[in-house]
Amino acid sequence: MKLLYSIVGLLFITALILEGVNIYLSNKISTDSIIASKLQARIDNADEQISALNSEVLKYSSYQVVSNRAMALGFQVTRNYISLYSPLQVAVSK
Amino acid sequence: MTYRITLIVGFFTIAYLALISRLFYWQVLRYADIKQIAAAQNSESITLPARRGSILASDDFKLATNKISYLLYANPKLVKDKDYLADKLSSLLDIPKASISAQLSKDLFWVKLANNLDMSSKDSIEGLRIKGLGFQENSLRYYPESSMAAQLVGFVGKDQNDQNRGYFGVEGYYDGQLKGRDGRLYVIHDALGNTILNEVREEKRIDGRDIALTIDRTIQYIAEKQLKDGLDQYEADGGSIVIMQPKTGKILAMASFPRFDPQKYYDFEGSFYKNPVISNLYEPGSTFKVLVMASAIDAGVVKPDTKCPICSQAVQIGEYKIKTWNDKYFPDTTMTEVLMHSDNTGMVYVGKQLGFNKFIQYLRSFGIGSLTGIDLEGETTGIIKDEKDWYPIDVATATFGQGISITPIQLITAVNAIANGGVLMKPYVVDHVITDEGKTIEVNPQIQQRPISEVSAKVMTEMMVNAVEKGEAKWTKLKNYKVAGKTGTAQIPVAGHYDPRNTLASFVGFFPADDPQITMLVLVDKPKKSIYGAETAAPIFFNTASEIINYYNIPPTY
Repeated sequence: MKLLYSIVGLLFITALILEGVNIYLSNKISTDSIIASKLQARIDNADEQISALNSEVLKYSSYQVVSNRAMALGFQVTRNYISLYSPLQVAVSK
Repeated sequence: MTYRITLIVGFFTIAYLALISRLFYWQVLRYADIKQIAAAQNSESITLPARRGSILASDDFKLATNKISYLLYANPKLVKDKDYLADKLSSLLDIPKASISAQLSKDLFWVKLANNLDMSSKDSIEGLRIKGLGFQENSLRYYPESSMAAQLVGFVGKDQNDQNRGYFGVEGYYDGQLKGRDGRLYVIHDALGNTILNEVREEKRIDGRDIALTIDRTIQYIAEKQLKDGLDQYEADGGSIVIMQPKTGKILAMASFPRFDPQKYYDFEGSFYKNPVISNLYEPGSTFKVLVMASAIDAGVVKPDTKCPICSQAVQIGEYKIKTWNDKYFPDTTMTEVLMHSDNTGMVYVGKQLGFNKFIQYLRSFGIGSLTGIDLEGETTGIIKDEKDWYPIDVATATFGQGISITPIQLITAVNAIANGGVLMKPYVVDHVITDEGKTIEVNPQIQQRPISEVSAKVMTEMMVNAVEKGEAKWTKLKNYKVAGKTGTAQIPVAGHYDPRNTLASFVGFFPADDPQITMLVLVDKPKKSIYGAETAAPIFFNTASEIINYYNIPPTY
């Protein structure tokens, strides 16, 4: 009879401990989830800003914008090009 | 006593049976419904949208990519001071106050206030700290060079299921590669709504592939600018320009006017989306003569110095009389001069010498009558009629490019074969594809066939150089560079006859003639200042060629 009580008692204590562990782990996972969610939100925000900056870089480096800006600043297309296709002596020693 | 016990046992038995029946009903019969309701309460399925691939020019600049935009919505029931909000949003977003007020006055929980907002606008609105406003993040297709190569790039619109889909050009042709595959995330929440991480299940998303084009952004810019300036100068309705690399068939630039803004495609009529270079059929006129002459040279029926015995006057074909374009005739003119003067009677002689069967056979080998296979959505082709449907007058007019319909891409591809030593290359616009794992899939040049021999191509090139040096367009030719080319002034067929006032002026050619690096076709639709190709399309060709020569630093021929 005493052995029966001991077994039941042991099972009861084991169940109690396991339940305690279960509650702790579930709580921890939920807490980690909250932290992870906050981190994810910060990552998303950073991604948004990177994407916006990429769009700005593309916009300002497009030929349409560069040429319009150059024209507004007074740059002109030059039609006088000089290309050297054979060696040309540009300095001589005396 | 026994009666009472029986009654109690009976009562409990019935009660248990009722309970078991009810449980059976909920847990077995209604299992699927209950499971669905439970899943809706504690689990969630989130779509992970695949990123649409970018379209890159040859310098890796993105001609089409994605950017984040925001949709601003409001819950009118939570907004306390609607007039204040309408006033503020109106000044921040430049939207009429009345339209915002109208939305806010609706008896709804969700109303859309504005779309496609950028990040700075979102930050400004968030700074107002007004309760009842929210933002929904969207991905917006973005074209940094706006209308540049619009018909070639295409645009992204919605299909019948309200899903993004590419239309026209590269966006349409490569839609399957660009769009990727959406993923899904299945998450379970606890009683407080927090995500339980170890219950998360994910179907991986596959991002779309990036498409790198053969288009050189600088050449594209030069071509568009020169074409636009030319069209304005000659008061033309529109025009096109195509630039190809002779040895590979790579398209370096392709542009048409009028064009549309792919970002705001919905503001333009459907006709603007079509790429005239691959979709429009036209009668090529005199530019077609180079193909017929090349065929005759290759077949050995004429030589550059062969004299034309029928060129002293208009040629009679049945009841029709074929004249030259300026009614000037050159007795005993050579084939080189026929091309130089763009002599229609001389071409009729060439056609006769070639014969109908060889004429058709050569046209087919140049790719006329079939699709070029260019990797763009919307290519069309004219059909070469059945042999029995050709009358002598049809053959005669076809030798100088009338009564036969082709697309501009067919013409430049065929002329490019002459530039490439007689080898016909398949035109293409995609250089390589980059997978979401970063792997590169190269697209290699493809030889279609050899319509003419290398020797015939060389002979034809010299005849075309002579046409530029001494022909109608000599006034605009480049100094110090040998350019092979041919002008064209095609009549426009309208309801069974030719438009007496308007023409389609063109110039096709390649340079430097001894080692061609560029093949180019310029088309000018209904120019008003002059109807002739030599006075409209040719100057656009040579101005563009001059800038390309400087860009590539091509050494002078002499």
